[in-house]
Amino acid sequence: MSGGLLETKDSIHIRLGPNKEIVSACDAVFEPRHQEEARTMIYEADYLRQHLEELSTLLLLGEPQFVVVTEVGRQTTFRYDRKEGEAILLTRAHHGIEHLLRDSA
Amino acid sequence: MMEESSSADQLRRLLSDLYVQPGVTGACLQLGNIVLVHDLPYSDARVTDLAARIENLVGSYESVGRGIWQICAGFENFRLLILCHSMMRLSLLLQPGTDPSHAAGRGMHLLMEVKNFAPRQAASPPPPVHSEKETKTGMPREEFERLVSGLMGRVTGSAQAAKLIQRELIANQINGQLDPEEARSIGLTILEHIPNRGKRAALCSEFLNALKP
Repeated sequence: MSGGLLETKDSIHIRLGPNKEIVSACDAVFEPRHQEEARTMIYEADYLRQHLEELSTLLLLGEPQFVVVTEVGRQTTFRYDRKEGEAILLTRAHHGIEHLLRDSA
Repeated sequence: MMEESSSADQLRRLLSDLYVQPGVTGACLQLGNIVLVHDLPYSDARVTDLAARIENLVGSYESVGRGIWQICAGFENFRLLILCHSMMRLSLLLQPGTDPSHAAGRGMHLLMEVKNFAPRQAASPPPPVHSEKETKTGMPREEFERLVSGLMGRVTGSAQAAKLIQRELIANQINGQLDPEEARSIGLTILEHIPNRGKRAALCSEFLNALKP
């Protein structure tokens, strides 16, 4: 998963509305060659949210607020906010969680 | 040092090291979806369910060629940090304000230590447990069945596990009490049916530890 959207910038933002529509995003997200990757990330946000909700129900953890997935060469932060919608921040690995949460707010 | 103590004690000791880091409220170490040791404030059944869900989540990434290092999930009441190394997953339950990076460093160190430990367990199951007490006391059949079916139930259906246990008990003509050597050898024979070598070794180890007086 190296390259892709991160070829163009060190960090990529996507903000989603209540119906998963893109409210705002970095220009690269709208380039045809990156749209599949962007769509995958939007799908991933929903997929992870479902997993977090299951974990929350199981362990009584409360409402999911964010998840940071760190893998080789990239780190993706998904923020969940009922009022403001979802935000996705893709960066090169590896940044501290607090730093990522500030950037994705 | 590893050989001197039982695997479960060793793993528990490693987990306890994590609490040096403020904010850690519980931990669970799993190999695939098998829980090796945990001290989370939940029942074993719930932690087994958690391990299966974590394995499912991490596996879904790995199945598309995305190797996960860590997942940090934030909730209203806690943070859940999942560290991955090979087939090992270490989940840490953190208080909300805790910066996971410090706990992650310590947790990854633990996984590296366990990594060296697990293959040796898989290659050679722990030696038979013999003690003076064991030679004098036996194990009731019901207790034996409960122990083995609990272990087998983590990797197979309960009906299949029960069938295997009954078959071995009948073959060995066990009705009431099992002496320690019978319990050990019959239990290991049943656990031999687990096809995955790593899971088999982990469960054999747990079984032998459970037989200890």
